[in-house]
Amino acid sequence: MKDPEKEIKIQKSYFKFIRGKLIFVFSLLILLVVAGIVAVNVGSVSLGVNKILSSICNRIFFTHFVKDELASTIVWELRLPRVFMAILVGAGLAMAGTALQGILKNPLASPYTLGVASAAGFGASLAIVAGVGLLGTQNLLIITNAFIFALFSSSVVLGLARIKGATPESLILAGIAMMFLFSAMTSLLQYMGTEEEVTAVVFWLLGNLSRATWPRVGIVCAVVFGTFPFFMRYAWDFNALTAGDETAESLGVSTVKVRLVGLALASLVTASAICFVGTIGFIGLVSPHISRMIIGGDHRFLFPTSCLVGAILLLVADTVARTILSPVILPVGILTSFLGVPLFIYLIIKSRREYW
Amino acid sequence: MKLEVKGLNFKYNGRCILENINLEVGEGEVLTILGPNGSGKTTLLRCIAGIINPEEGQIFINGNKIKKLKKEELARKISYVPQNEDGSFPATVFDTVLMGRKPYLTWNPSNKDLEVVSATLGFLGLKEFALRDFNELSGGEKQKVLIARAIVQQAQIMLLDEPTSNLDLRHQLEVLEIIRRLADERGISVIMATHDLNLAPRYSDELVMLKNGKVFCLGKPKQVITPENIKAVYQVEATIDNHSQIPHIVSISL
Repeated sequence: MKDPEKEIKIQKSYFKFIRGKLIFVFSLLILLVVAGIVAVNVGSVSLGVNKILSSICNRIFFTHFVKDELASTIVWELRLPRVFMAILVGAGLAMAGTALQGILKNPLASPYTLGVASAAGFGASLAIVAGVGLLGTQNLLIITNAFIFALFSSSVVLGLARIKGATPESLILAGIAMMFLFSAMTSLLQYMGTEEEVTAVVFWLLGNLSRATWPRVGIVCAVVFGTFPFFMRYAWDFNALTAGDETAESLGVSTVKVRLVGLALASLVTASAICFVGTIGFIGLVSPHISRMIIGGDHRFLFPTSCLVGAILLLVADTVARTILSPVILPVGILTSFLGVPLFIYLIIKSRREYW
Repeated sequence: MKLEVKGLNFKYNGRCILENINLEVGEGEVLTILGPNGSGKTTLLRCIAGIINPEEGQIFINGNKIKKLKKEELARKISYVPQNEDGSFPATVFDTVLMGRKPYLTWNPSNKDLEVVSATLGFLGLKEFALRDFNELSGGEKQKVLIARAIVQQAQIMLLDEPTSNLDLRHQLEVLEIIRRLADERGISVIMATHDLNLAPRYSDELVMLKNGKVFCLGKPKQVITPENIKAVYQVEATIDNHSQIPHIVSISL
């Protein structure tokens, strides 16, 4: 019955299969770097790769060859933070989306399924329209409000889940309830606000990256890189969850624990990303799907792939948003769908196998 | 390994699902749970698998309470093949089976993990399917893959919930043959639930019939498969051919 040669053959083809996935992840990484350089280059002033590199080197190494103050300022104060913000927010939303789809076993789940987005939107509107909030003044108020309300919404959902049992159905329904509640409250605020305030609210809800600064980039960076190891560490548990709760439990996975901790961390990532940039849609929903179509459902590769796909999508979308109607800068939230949908539909048509 | 169930009670929403269940399976034995729909077969298997906790009663493996084991330790001792698996994500057969190594896995599967998976795929004749998508397989092939996943768990006790439901005749026999071989060749203790009163006796050492959450009768196939028991448990008239070693139901009517 045993046939050692054939077994080695199976293993070899499996290694090949895994290597293919790794190569794909690295190609995405290279693509992201290239997209990043292009994004820093283009804009109302085109700088050229030389100037970009020299101004980056000047700052990092304190060298003083070819000094160009203007280029340096454009690169360091305007474009780089924005590029990094796009990468981090894209990666964070994609990571949270992957986690939610896996945890809830639902292809329609996104980082916003627990009502995080509408709660953040309400928090921001509250700051804009009523000037009411918990911490800080004006701009800071919008951020802290959005962050706190986003986490509040997911805490309520998770709290309910703890009492009623953390089944995907109860979590999704509770999330939808929170979403409607906060949307209604946001509408109420919009109804009562002045025209300018309403415009500001709508602008915030669309999402845009113009307010990226280094400290904010730093915060999002810390949260994304702080939570990424957890999701990677529990990749096998996520794989087991998708095989069904019974199977996962019998394989030694604490389904309730993985669900609750995973949702809490995904909400934290989402809240910290959108509180700075507004509720950018689509990235968190579509990046996991695109990745799953290409490399399959193994979360060990799905998490990194999805993060890279999300980062590239948002970066490209933002670069297009900055340049397509220059000097008008469109909110990136509008562009993510315009660019993502054709890609998504193309992949649905192209992918032969059933991927969900 | 020897598995004992002692005085097991399970209630759900105040309703008694299982009442005072006592069972025992020895090394290399196959025990089959019979009983009508809703008699508690699945619940019993889930209690033993540690997926749900019984209110009262204890389950022992070689005399040790399973309640004291950590989830991961239990997963190395008991494997479970559920009846319906709603696997929805795309996964290759190899990856699906590799998941059975979860209780042993660090992040990267070791050579041993890969060897066990390859050997098991060979053992079940699934080599050709290794890199195919699980969702593309037929029902019979899927069931074999799920059994492969339970095998690589290398647990000495295996639980299966209706492993032959939805399978064609050939696959039913193949699956039961595999189960029998696991018990005979590897000394695995098997507990399975099934509705098939004719195939069950052929592959089982002992049968237990549940009625309304209680053990109605327990024993060798000839003691359990009798017209009286079938009448009492299923409310069906049956005539049974007892000429060969294994009892066989010849006709049934309401």
